[in-house]
Amino acid sequence: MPATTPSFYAGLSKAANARLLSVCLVAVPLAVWAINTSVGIWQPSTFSSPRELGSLLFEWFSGGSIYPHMLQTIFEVVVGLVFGTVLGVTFALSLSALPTLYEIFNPFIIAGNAIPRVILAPIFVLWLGFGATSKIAVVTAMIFFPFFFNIFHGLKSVNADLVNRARTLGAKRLDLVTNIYLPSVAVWALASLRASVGFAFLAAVVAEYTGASGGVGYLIGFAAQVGSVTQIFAGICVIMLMVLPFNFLVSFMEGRLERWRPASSGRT
Amino acid sequence: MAASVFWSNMSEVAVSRSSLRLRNRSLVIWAARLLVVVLIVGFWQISVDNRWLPRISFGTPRTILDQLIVWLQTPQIVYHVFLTLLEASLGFLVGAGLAVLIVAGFIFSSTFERATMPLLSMLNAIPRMALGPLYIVWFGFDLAPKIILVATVVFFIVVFNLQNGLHTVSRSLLSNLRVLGAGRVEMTRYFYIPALFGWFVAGIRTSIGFAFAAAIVGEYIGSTAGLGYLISFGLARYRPEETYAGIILVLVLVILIDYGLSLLERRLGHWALGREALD
Repeated sequence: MPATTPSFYAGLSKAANARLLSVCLVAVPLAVWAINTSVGIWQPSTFSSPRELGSLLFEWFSGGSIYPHMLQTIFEVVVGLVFGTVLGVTFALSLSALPTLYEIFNPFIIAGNAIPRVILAPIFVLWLGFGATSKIAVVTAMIFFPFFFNIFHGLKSVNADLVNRARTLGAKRLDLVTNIYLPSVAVWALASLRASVGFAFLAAVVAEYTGASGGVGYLIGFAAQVGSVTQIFAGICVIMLMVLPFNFLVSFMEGRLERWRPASSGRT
Repeated sequence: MAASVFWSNMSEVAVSRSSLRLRNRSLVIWAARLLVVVLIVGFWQISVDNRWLPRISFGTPRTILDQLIVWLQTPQIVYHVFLTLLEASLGFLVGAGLAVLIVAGFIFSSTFERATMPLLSMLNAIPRMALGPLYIVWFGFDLAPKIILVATVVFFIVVFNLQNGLHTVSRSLLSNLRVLGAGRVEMTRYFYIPALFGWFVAGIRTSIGFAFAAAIVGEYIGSTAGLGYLISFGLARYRPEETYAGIILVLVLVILIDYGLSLLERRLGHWALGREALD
């Protein structure tokens, strides 16, 4: 018998195997969680339960109580991203124009980059209070450095051959800026934006833990104080719901930009 | 050197000047750096003294210095620093160890890799430090939640870093070894471990920074000791000098550790470089 009927497992292709295993890796823990909490082996007070989590999320979204908090966090992230980008680009442009100034500020920039910026949240709360401003400042501090470094090095790595050739062909300084430098800065900026979205949310949420009056991080921090695991889970789900569209938007923008990406160092 | 072609064309003066009188120039630059620090500290002290800035939220450089001196004279500070370092290093060991185990699994089974990576990427969308409150509720206010938080943060960094490295190993060297009859054990011993070691070393510096941050964020959320506790306790009872002094201690530690790691990286880098030459 065993010789004539090949086992179900061996009959699957390697890719299908991987997919099956992948589904199991998600489904089995979820099922264990659902069963154990509903039978009562795991206390819902420490482990929550799928039903409690679902009903809280439903209540938040249908009752509308979550939207102001989501808006607050998204506002902090977006404004912080804009400030961080603008500051990063401005500093990168001006410091690469002024090498002496760059040399003076270099150790400060390196030290600032070595510091984990999330831990500065309490300082910003001291300076700017418990409102959105202090969270925006934390996000800005978080975003500034990757932007600065990416664009600064991006500007340095702009292909010299390309610039020389364009100049030979009669390109004016303005042509160089609009046709070579700005597009390459845009590419580098988008690349750092992609890496930064997650960090921006992290910074906003952690800053809301240290002291806030609203936002999803505030909800989670409050839930931790009253010991509501369900509310913590729900808060984390909401954060994921907010991060994913942002990531999607950034990769979409990157895809659009790919089409008119300027020649990088590989192509001359 | 710092200027791109574009800017050096725009400011040729600066470049030609930079090649002149190098020694004087570096002296001037150090003086300028010092001036920046003195200006900031002086402005801070003067504006709080003249009540342009509220003392309650800015403290003054002098009170912060006093606070630091008071702390450094008491033995408790050693305990707080030690706790934070312990959390960060234990969490790092656990997280990096798990990550190495998982990637070792990838080497032995590509099916395992293809099954695990989608799950890991999905979990990667959670800001890991946001899990702090959950761990606090589950594991209390002691060391455990911070160690687990650090381990979670470090695990993802190291896994993605090593997995990335696994896909950039030299394919031709791999096939050569296979043709020469190397088994899985030999491949791991002589190829994968040396090849991934460089990636691991490169990831250590980033992940130790994050390990430190995670330990301190964990302490902000709920703790009874540690540097993060000192900082947030200062915030809670309106003693800004404690918050600033705590953050200064953290910064000094982080910069020292980062410097030490950069030395280590340079030492170990030779190893990784040998690998490059091999490729």
